[in-house]
Amino acid sequence: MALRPGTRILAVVGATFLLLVVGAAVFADVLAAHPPDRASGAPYERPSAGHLLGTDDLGRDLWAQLVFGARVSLFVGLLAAVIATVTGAAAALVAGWRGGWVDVLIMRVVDLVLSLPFLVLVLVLATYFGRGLQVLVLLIAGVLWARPARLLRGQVLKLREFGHVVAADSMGAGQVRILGVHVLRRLVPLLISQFVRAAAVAVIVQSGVAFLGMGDPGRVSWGSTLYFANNGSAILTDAWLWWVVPPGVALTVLIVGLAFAGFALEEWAEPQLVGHGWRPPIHRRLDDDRGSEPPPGVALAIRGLSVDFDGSRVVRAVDLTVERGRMLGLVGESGCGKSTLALAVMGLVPHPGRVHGRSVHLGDVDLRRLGRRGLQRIRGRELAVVPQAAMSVLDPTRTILRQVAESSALGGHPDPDGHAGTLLSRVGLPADRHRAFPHELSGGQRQRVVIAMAVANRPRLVIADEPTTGLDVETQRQILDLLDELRIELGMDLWLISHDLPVVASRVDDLAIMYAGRIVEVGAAGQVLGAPTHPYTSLLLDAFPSLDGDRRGGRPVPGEAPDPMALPSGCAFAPRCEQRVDRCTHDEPDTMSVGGTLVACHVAGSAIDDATSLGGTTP
Amino acid sequence: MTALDLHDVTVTFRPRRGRAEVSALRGVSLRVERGERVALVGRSGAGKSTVVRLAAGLVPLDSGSLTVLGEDLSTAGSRQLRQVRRRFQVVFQDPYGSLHPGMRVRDLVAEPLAIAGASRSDRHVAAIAALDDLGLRPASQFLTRYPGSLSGGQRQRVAIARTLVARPELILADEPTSMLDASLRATVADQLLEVRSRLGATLVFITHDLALARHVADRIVVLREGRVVEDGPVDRILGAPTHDETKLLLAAARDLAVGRQ
Repeated sequence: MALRPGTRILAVVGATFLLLVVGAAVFADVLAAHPPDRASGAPYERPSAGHLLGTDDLGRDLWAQLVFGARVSLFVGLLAAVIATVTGAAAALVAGWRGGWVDVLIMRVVDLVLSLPFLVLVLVLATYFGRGLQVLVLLIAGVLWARPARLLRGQVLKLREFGHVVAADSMGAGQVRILGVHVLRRLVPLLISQFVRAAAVAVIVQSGVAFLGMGDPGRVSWGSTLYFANNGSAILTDAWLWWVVPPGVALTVLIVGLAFAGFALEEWAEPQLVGHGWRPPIHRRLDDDRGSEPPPGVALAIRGLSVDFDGSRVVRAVDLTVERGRMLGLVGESGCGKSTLALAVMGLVPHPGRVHGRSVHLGDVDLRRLGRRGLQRIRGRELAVVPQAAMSVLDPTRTILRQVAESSALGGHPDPDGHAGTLLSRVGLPADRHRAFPHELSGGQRQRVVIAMAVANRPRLVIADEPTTGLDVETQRQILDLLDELRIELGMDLWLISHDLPVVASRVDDLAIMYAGRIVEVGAAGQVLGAPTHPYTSLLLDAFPSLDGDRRGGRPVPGEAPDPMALPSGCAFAPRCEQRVDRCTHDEPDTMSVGGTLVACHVAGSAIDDATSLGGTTP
Repeated sequence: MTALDLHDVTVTFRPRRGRAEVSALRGVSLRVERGERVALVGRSGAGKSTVVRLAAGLVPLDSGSLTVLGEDLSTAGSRQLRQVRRRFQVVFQDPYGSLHPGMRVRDLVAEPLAIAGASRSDRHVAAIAALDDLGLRPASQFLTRYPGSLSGGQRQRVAIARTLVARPELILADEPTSMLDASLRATVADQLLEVRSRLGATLVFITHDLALARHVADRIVVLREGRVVEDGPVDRILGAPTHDETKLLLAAARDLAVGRQ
């Protein structure tokens, strides 16, 4: 699986470091000419060909101690981590899945273990149970399992509610299958990070114990080398260079190797963890100077706007106009670029998107000529958005009144709280709900709050992006009515974006149909709905079940929407089009005026004699 | 014979301390005979989804009785519940959540067979056939993909292919189209109907959209605030609704359904 370049470097470094330590451990007998735990020379020898790192106060070879020490560290680290992670995961699964008193009992034990001073506990237990390495491993694991147990239990509780876990349960799957396939497998990234952490802590604790002289007296480890170095006053002479530094570096190499490798493994196990970090969009200034004059009488005029993402063009040379006083509807399937178009108008296309275009006029201001500051001043004041998924745009920790008041304050209102109250009442939230938190409201009520925030400063234009998606029919109707009332009351203009053609079509004056990044048809709603010119519009209209006529109505649009990374040549709709002619597959149609609507289609264009080409719109 | 029988069922959700109880179902009685196609219709919070989750044994009932495919689930133990569950199939609302992101399409589609203990080769053959039937062609290209690389419509088709593989006697569809593009509603509903008629299964379909209910069902049950308020054949409900809730839903649906004029 593909890793990001940065992670790949970490993976290589981590793997190299780990291989060094593992190699030393495996080939210790070959690498070291002397035994690590018996004198093979005079005490305090300096490095020589016979003793690469010299000898310690008892004449034991320090190089041998270094390579044999790798065995001890790896043994302790891996074994303790395996025991701790497995125990922790098992405890988490049982506690999170069984719930009830089992959960309470296990979690109290976890709390107890976590609240004890870790190193002191290990030391005390080590003196009590003996100083053998195996005992130490068990003691370390016995303390380390608690943290993964707590973390993983939280995840198990969350996963219980996940769709696929519920689905497996509803299919009659047994507990073993649900826990193994559906729960445990999704915990793998977390298991990896917990394992790595446990291994690192175990290595450090073992070295620490040995350094304090309380380790297994029969075993030479990096910690015991340091213990003897300390006793032999190596720090006070130049012997520290070959006596203290090598085990220190070895420890560091092992810990860093574990951390890096764990990081890379985590990303490999769950690539979706990696986000793109937000960066400001790159605005290409005017490509040319055409169309910089504001068209008269319009609320919004988009001319030649395109958006590219990683080389694929998701919005392609869009011309679109919101006439003053006429509601515009924009309809298209998921992924056709309609939301990206709205973001481009707002200047909010996320990294790595690139916006090109001639002009975007809001009234007589060209938004493309404004810098970041200028756009910020316009957003929320003259241009506002009602986004989809109201739950995710509201702050769950603050009352809705506070959040609406914040919008009012942004516009410089003298009494934001009073104004927010008025707004909330106006959008239909009774006064006793004004101090509610978002999660206490229904979906429809949350959408009303978002609308109140959008209209708080009487914007000139409101862009409503899927304002009714996820709501039931009656609530959808209420929300659309509310938007329409506010539009008239506040004298603002409204641009409605949705995948749901009937919902949009029931309200708007003008209707635009978008397909694969292009506006394929636009005109007066009655015209587009009554006599659709583009074959896609036609098929789309037929795709909806209706309340009258043929019961089996609702004929699907054939085929699948194209991948924006690999658009077909010619007209993007041609592969799905039943009226396709030869020309459609190699020649992208221009936008032309046909019977009062603008349409991008060869077939529709050639059917009308006086079809007038408006010139190429696709670069 | 009855596929689903709820008698005076009440379900109450008791959230963790400090929050008010929510009555999801307040005395619902509903009989669905084998082979019927029933649409449960209502607004958000009417209790539609609770009926499905109850029938699937995912929420406990407080009082009343529940019989699914002849088995009394109000008293069933977990073993009996597991056995009944293998005889029906739920198609969930959210195709993004209901498919395990770490499982390949092949394993997702054949999961009911894996649960039943079928061999790997049987599962493979069944997965290919089901994908092909659902128009995910060529099936071999979809087998090894993960749901993350599929569109919402394709994911829901995988879920329906899984239903086909399970060969259930009862299909419970919980708003299977509401999270998809509106233009896919009819397509997905048609595929469910196709699978249903092939298996001769009973279909309970939840929606708030009366036009879609008319498309898939021959009987409509209207719920409001946890109660059944109207129940009858599609033509009667849409032609001569008696309850105010039905009239309201119908008016809203008419208001929002502007098709070809």
